Amino acid sequence: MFLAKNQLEKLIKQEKLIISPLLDNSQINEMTIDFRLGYDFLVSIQGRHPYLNSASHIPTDGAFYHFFQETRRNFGDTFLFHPGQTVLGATLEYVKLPENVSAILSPRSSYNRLGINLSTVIQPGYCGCFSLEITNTSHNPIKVRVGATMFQARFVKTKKTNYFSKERKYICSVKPEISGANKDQDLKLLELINKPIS
Amino acid sequence: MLHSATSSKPTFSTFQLFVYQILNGNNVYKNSVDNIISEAYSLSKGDKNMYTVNRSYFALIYHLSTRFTEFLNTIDIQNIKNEEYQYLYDKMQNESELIMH
Amino acid sequence: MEVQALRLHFSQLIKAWEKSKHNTYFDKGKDHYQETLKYLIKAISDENFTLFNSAQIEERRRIINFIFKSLGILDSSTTNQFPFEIIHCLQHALDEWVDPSNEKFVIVTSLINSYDDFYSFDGNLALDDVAYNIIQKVYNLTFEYRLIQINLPKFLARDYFSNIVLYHELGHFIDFKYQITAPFAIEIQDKYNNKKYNASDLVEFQKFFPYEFWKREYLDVLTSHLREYFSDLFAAQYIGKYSENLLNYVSGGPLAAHAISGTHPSTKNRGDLVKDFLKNNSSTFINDLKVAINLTSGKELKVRYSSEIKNSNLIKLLPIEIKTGDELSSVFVAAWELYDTYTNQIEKQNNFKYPLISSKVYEIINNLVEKSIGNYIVTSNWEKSKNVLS
Repeated sequence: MFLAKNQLEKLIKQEKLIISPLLDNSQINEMTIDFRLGYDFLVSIQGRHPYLNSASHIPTDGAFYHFFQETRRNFGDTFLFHPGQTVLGATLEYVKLPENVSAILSPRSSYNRLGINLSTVIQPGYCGCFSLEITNTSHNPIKVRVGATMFQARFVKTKKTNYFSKERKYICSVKPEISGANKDQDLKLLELINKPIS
Repeated sequence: MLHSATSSKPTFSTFQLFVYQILNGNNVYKNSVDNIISEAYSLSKGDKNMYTVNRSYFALIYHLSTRFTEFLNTIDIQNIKNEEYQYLYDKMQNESELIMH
Repeated sequence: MEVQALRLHFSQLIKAWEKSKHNTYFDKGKDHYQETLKYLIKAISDENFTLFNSAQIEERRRIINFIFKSLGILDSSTTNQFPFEIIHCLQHALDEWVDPSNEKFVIVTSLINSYDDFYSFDGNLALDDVAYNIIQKVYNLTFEYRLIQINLPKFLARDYFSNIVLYHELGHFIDFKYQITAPFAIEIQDKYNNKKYNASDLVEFQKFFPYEFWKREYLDVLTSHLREYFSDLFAAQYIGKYSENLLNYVSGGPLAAHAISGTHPSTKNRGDLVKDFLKNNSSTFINDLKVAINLTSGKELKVRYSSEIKNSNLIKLLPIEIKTGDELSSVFVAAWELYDTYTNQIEKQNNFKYPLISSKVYEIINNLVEKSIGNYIVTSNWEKSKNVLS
């Protein structure tokens, strides 16, 4: 069940749901809250390594850093999404979710129609700017304005959980961070299954 | 090094350049030169102190006020003559170091 | 030959300009500066160099050097990793000391790879009144903005624990601009030699200047030490004792605390002076310096960070809400206070089931400081633009 406007407003008033900065109350809609494009980006580029290796548990094997370039813009400046390019961004808003509310982030319909795509689920109790993994799936470059309300989140009530009951890779992120896929504990196990110790 | 800073200080050579221009009949810097001399004069007379003279040219003004006291005492600050600029220029020509560190 | 050398110099400039003239910047101050450079270069290129006497050639040589220096600064400030949060804080402090409606200074950043010589503040161009004077007189051109360059290490560009030392560097700029410590050094010598200090004053001065500071041959050393002391106090206005804490560490800790050089006083003395200032301890040295500051700049040396800004939000994993520009530097103090005395407050408050490793604590606090400042910049720009539209 998605939370309705009055429920969202109540959570914000009670400081159980923190959104900072919430520049305009009109960002709160009937069952979503609009989020703005932040000013920090990691833009995918072609690196020296032949491919992004997310199959290895050794972080250096992935060398993900070599495939992304850091760049930032002023609030209000413009940013260009090239066709097929992966861009990591962050919402302008820093968010702290209640321990019993999760969020589902997607592009606003107006931007979806241009070709902007992303889909992110955020765990209850999360704190930080929402991470944006954006792809322009259209055939044309898309110029956008930093700070524009490009995204919307639906909020779902869940069972109360403790976000910090297990070790978290991303805490209080305020800018995009390189994938931590290599840090997934399962990888070691899977590698072992593939090449068992005799 | 953690803490370092640099800043320029007007040097003799620049002031000399201005004076040289006056001696060559180019008066664009006359006001600037006269103002500096006037500030040095005020400082040496005690009409102004080290904290109230022009800040941009403090080092130069202080230098003139202490090293050219006699010269400042003899000139008419409202009407500095060419030979007085020449005297200043020649005297400074002999001093090649920076005015103050 | 002189004319040919000038032609060569100018040709080299034109080559550099071909590349730089297409630069784009983050703010209008730099754009405006670049535009003025364009007019200046055009004016020089329209001149007939063969008609110049030696003095006129010398003028052009200096102007071309000035333009080269400007391009060097501008070229290195086109970075797409501009650390605008720290620059905004420094610009706010600068505006408190130099009225922006009278003089416009733009802080430009150069990110350098070196770890040695890493933090520095270059005010050469901004304070080069001689060059501006020549340009104004010869070409009737005035630069509305002047550039101040700060250099900081690329890998620490967004580190707010270290970047606070830039307040000290800003202090040097303010000192040079108003010429505060140079006359103050002379005043100290004069007062000592004219026996204007009482016995307790002498003990204090001897502590902070442990050499024959009253002798003319020590004037340079005295002036250099005063520059450091002034900049320490300048920084302490904004970030309390934390710049000195860091300085102690990078200078070699307690083992090197008493070391003194011709340019820098001992870190022990620098720390003690900051303590005296922050605790408002009676000090003739500080009081006299305050008078000198006021006479030259019209400004007051005082604690400017707010103790109202607490680190409770950081402990709750939230950015600090900054309401006015005056509160900006207080966030650094709050962050350092938490980091300096860290005893797992974040884990306790947020019900962590595992201890945070030290690098994670650093990262969390640093991120929250950045977001606190970023939010203030965004919110104030939003409100300003909203007012324009309405």
